[in-house]
Amino acid sequence: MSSGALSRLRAVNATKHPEDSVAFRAVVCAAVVVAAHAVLREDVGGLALAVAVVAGIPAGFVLSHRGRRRNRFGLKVLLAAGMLVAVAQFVVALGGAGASNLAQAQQPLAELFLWVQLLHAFDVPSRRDLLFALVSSLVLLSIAGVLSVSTALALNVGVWAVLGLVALVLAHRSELDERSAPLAVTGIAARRSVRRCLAAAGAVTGVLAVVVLAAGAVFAVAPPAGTARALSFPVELPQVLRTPNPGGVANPSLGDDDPARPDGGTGTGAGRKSYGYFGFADRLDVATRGRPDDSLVMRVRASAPGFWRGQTFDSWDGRIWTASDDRPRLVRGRAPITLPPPADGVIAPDTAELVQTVYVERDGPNLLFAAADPEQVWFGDSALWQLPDGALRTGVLLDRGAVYTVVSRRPRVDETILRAAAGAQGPASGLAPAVRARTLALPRSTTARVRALATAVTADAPTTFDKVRALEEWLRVNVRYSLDIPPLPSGVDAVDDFLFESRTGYCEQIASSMVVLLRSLGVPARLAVGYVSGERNPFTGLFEVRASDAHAWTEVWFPRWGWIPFDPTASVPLSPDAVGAAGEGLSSFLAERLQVPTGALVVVAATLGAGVVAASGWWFGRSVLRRWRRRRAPWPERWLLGLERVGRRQGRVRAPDESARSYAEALGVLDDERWRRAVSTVETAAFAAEPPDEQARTEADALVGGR
Amino acid sequence: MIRPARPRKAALLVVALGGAFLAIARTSGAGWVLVLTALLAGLLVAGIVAPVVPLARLRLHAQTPPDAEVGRPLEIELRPGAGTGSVLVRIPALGLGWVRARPGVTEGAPACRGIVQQVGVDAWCAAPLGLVAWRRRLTLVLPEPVHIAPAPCMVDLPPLPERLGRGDEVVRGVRRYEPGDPQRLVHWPSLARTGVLSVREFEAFDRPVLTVAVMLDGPAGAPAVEAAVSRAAGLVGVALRAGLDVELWTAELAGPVRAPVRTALDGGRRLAAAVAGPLPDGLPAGAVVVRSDDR
Repeated sequence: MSSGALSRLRAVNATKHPEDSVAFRAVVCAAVVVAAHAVLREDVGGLALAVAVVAGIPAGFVLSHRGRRRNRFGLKVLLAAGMLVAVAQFVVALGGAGASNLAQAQQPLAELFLWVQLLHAFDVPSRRDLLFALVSSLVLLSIAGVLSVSTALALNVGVWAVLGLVALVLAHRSELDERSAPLAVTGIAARRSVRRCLAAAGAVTGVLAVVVLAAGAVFAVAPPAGTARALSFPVELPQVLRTPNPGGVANPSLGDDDPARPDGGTGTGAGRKSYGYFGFADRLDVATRGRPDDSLVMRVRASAPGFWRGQTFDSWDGRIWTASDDRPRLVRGRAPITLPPPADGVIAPDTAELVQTVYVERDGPNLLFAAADPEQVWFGDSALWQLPDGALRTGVLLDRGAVYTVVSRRPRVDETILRAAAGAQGPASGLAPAVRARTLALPRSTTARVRALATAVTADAPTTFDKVRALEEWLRVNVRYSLDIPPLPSGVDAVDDFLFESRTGYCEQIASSMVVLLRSLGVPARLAVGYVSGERNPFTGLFEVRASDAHAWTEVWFPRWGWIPFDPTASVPLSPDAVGAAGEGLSSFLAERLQVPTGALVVVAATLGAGVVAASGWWFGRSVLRRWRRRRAPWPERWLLGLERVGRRQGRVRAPDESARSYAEALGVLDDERWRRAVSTVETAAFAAEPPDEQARTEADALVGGR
Repeated sequence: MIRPARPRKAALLVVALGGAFLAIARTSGAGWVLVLTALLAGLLVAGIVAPVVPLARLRLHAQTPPDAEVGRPLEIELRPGAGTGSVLVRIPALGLGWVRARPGVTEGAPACRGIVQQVGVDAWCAAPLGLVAWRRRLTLVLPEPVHIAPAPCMVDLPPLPERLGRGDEVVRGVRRYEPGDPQRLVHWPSLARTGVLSVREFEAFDRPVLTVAVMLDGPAGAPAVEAAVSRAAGLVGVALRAGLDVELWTAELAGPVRAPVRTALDGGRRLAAAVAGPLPDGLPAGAVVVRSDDR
């Protein structure tokens, strides 16, 4: 490189306007550290990077401040070299990870950004550099936002927002000082009193309130974060631990009841985790008591709520559900794994795609939870087992940290479609004979009064759909939902006992009864277990599924449309609406977290909004009132206002202490006799005991454009 | 009327970042990125709304000395209303660049000659975030007019008529020195004797008089006109410093004016008011005529 080019390079990189404000620098530094911390918390980089970032960024800012007036060309060269090393490291990490999709590039990219932020911290001498650091910290925070699926990021976002706001205020003050000509401040403004500081803090708080309110309003109406099919989806499998029974159910959270144990599960219930649900096994005993707790078991990113189905049971012996055809089909492939249509199902004429990305938060069963029917899967292992009902099992244990995505096709149905869905061979039309037999079978224990009840309740229901609705309504009215159920006497049919004796139960009893009642009417039905959609977290956009969301519901066969889920326990719509706005459920979510009633939160937000509107209204109203008062002012004052209008048109504004006569004189209108008369009339009206006559006032008004 | 100023880079950056974040959120499904997008939108809304308040509240009063000179510092005392310290104002007519609207004293340097009482004020505000700027034009009426005199040119004293030549003076007596008395009139012997600074006084009929007539042809501000006025100012100054009486003939808005000039300040005020127009009749022979078409 020639010396001329080198000196040009030096000149280009020289600091032009070093920033002297320590407060501004400190706030930007804090914002950068907060953003870096947000990324580090998402398991990005190792301990060395964390230490380097947390200690290095403040150190860099201090050194930048000290050397802000020096030409540190050598340091810039070193930092550029460091950047190149970081980029090389990123490229190597991409290759090493064998990143087959964009999602796998997120972690190395986040590490690269951290390095860039760290290196940049050593070269922020000017205001422009500091603002660049602030913007890049926001980008860093957005990376954390992409990686984060929890509400814990809220603290970082909140702190960063305040710091970012203060940094912008300080940057603007610094800019004003730079642009402004020297001013020897006098009077009260010269005193840096506590009152002035409080006023500044108040102004920042006010702006923060406006920002929060406006952001809240935008967030409430903004379209939700995308959940449609993207280029790639995150896939994570923390460890590959093969299940001992390939193709079978493994559920370590059930302890001794884990069907993958060599003894097939003892049934004692010992060692069951608080979040373990007994339905995620190879059998479901409806007499089992005890419900899972509120532990967060998984988060689901989806555009609409739904039943996250784990598996179905079709064989009922009066107390226990099992899957009669438990012969899963092995499906192999690399992500995305395309699945064949379920053997027991049918391809509906009209379907809607639902993409679900599941983040596993607790070690659970090897079931891939997703809405029926799964079509494609992004998963960290190349082997999956598909059951005839379309349910999926993995060959590895799904530990905390596992991430997978399932693309499902849900029949797009409504009441009209389902009422019209009829087959030539009745409600079971289109079902394979074996499946029909399985899903219509009833045990000997099913009593006549159960059958009679089904017939009686659906006497006025002409279609399968009407029958389902009638039974749902009967259950809603006649049974009580309770987690505290009496023990089931031995040798008794659980459904009969529930419908005619206890009439108390929860989803397993209610859904089982529904299946039995439908089967007794000749309508194919089966029991599905999984999770309900869970509460949607408006910040992450994810449905947070808790162990207590484990649920059982009914799947009913409709010719041409396949298996349609119905939930007799709660009224769930057939096709749940997609999430309409990002802020949907925001008030109830916050109210629950802050432990205040939703109404109170709405009232607070409405009060704040009303305050802003009222302040604007007061300001506007005051100016209107002033104008109105001016109009109501005595005639001389109103005439003077008219004269001011005339003067403004001439480009001459009246001085505050200028009288009507001197102003008129300055405007050069007193050469005209009419103006002289008008000014005399005004003076008479203002100061004389006798008011001028109406004619004179009219003439004077005419000169200034009427009253 | 408050109007938006030219878009600032910061606002454009916020909009671009918001758009990028929205695209990321829509494609990745990251809810937190949507939160950040909303935050940027809120920031932009606050950045748009907040500057309007101090700008609308701005009430400005200013005071200046009654006399100024083109290109020379002019002390300006600003007295804005409360809560407008984040607003920048400038008064081009007084040569005052951008300055914060806070109570204080600053300096302008008028660029144009004239008598100014009503001045336009440009106000600009992007506070407190500096994202979006608004501007406003106000009219400020000064308590008393400012006479902005032309910057005097360096000129030589023209050759005077015989009657006015030096050496013809008859000293009438000596009086105490007064500020503004030319140095050449100092009576050194009396200073040596009494220690009191005194100056010589001449018989009135013998005082040399220089008549300067300023004939302008063109609007104020035109380079030729301003150059002529500057030459006249230089001439008046050099004549006064030489101890001559000066009579200045000018045309003003009120009509032709013919009057003696006692001090440079006086001359400056007269020349500040000079415009193109007819001069009084009877210009004496020997008067120095400064024309705007002279080179």
